[in-house]
Amino acid sequence: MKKVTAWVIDDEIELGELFVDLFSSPECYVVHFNNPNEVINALKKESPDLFFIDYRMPKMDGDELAKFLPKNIPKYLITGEINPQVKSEFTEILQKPYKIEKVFQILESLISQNKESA
Amino acid sequence: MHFIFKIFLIIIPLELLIHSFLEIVLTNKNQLNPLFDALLLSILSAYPLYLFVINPLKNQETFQQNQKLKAIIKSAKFSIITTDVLGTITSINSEAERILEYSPDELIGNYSPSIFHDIEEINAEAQVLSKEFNEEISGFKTFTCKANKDLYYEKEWTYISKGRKKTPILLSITALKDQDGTIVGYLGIGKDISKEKELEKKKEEEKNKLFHISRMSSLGELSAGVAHEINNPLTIVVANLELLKRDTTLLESSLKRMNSIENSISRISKIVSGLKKYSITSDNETLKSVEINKIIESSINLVDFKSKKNSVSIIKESNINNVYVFGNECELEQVFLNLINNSIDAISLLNEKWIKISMNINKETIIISVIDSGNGIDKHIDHKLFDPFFTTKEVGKGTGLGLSISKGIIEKHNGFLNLNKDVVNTCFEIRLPIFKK
Repeated sequence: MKKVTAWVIDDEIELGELFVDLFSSPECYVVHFNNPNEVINALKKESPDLFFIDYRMPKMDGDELAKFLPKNIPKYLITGEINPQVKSEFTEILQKPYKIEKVFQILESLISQNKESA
Repeated sequence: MHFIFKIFLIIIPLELLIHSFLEIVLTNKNQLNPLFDALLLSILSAYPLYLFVINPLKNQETFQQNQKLKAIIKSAKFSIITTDVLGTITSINSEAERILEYSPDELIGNYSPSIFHDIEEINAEAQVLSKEFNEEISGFKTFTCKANKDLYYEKEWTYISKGRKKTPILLSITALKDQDGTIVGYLGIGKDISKEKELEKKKEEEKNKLFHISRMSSLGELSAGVAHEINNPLTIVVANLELLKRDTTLLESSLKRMNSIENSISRISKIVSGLKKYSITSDNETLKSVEINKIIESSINLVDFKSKKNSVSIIKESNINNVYVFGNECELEQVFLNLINNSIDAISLLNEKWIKISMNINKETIIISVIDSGNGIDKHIDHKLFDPFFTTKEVGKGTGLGLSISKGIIEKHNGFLNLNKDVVNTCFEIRLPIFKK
């Protein structure tokens, strides 16, 4: 069975790595990118099942980045911002500090969908 | 003129006396003095002239002058009240009648002005004056002691009408004296300054509102920036903590400490997300006409569980349907929720537990009062009530942002949120402009 892949894009390296540590599992493969350009480049070769995107990043914010990402892949915006003005479509906006269980839920539902389709 | 005739009245008998005396002397000499004759004649003719022509004219003039004075007193837009020297009311004019709602018959000869004064105000002023003059001053003397010393005395008082209506009055008191300078009574001239007071209050409110708005907007800007900076490291802490907790070799005591860290973090994040509400800008929000009664009802429904759990009864005293305000439904609901929640928290330990919500319309404004069975707010904290982060709730229970945010919301809707200190219980009053569809 294919692992579910989630990409997390956060300029704060420590947070990104923690995210990987927290949510990586035999069923879920989590990859951290610390700048949006890397993501756009990586997309040329492969694509994940899910994006977690930080809002405030230098050069390009999460909202802008979302415009370059495939429409059919669910995108979650994770933000410490109080009320970010977003133009792109996000499945949901998660407020930092996010609830760990909430992220687990999102991943689990993806994993179970994956199982069903397999 | 009057004075000259008075002199004549004294002179005439005197002259007659002198004349008779001289006549006796002079007749003996068989010589009449023509000068005295002329004088006597003039005096004798002047007296009837005064008595029958000038005096009636004079009386007429006094009468007219009296009438004029009476008319002035009657139509003056000042409350004019006189008392005798002991303080018993001797006259009141129609403006005083209007303000006090007593008829002249009820007051004159029966009462002293203390019947329509606030006793506490008199006592407070008596204390001030006692200190000023270094003597014991109380009761009616409070009003008169300055007038007795011929000092100009003007002060704001509250007149309480027969129907217990309060009117602010600017009152000046003068002593009334007779010809010898003995004080025979007092004259109190009072101006109804309720309009001025209202204007003053409005100005003050506008000022406070502007102050609050500017403070809120700077807090909003600040919090928007700070929130991001706080939330990122906070997330790191939470995530690390979560990873640590996965360690199965952890001691029970270590787990306990981690839980305590976790609770503290959730407190910090609660405050940060509370700050969130300050930075809500008016763009991209949906403003529409909303029925205020519906908002109140839905707020009551939302706290239903909490109120029942604390056995607080929420009584809606009036139902005014079809009154609309223009604004943001969610925000307005938040205000009512906040007020009701605060009330529940405040009275949950009291014996008597109720919250009354009433609606009143005053011209173009809808006034909503949220009153609870609490005993009002301590005087020494009431000015801090709407300050951000001010709370009387126990640590961790309240962020101290609710009232300040609520005030901000109401003011954004061109309204006012105030503590009504005239009510014995705790009463918050919201005034919002009515929206005409």
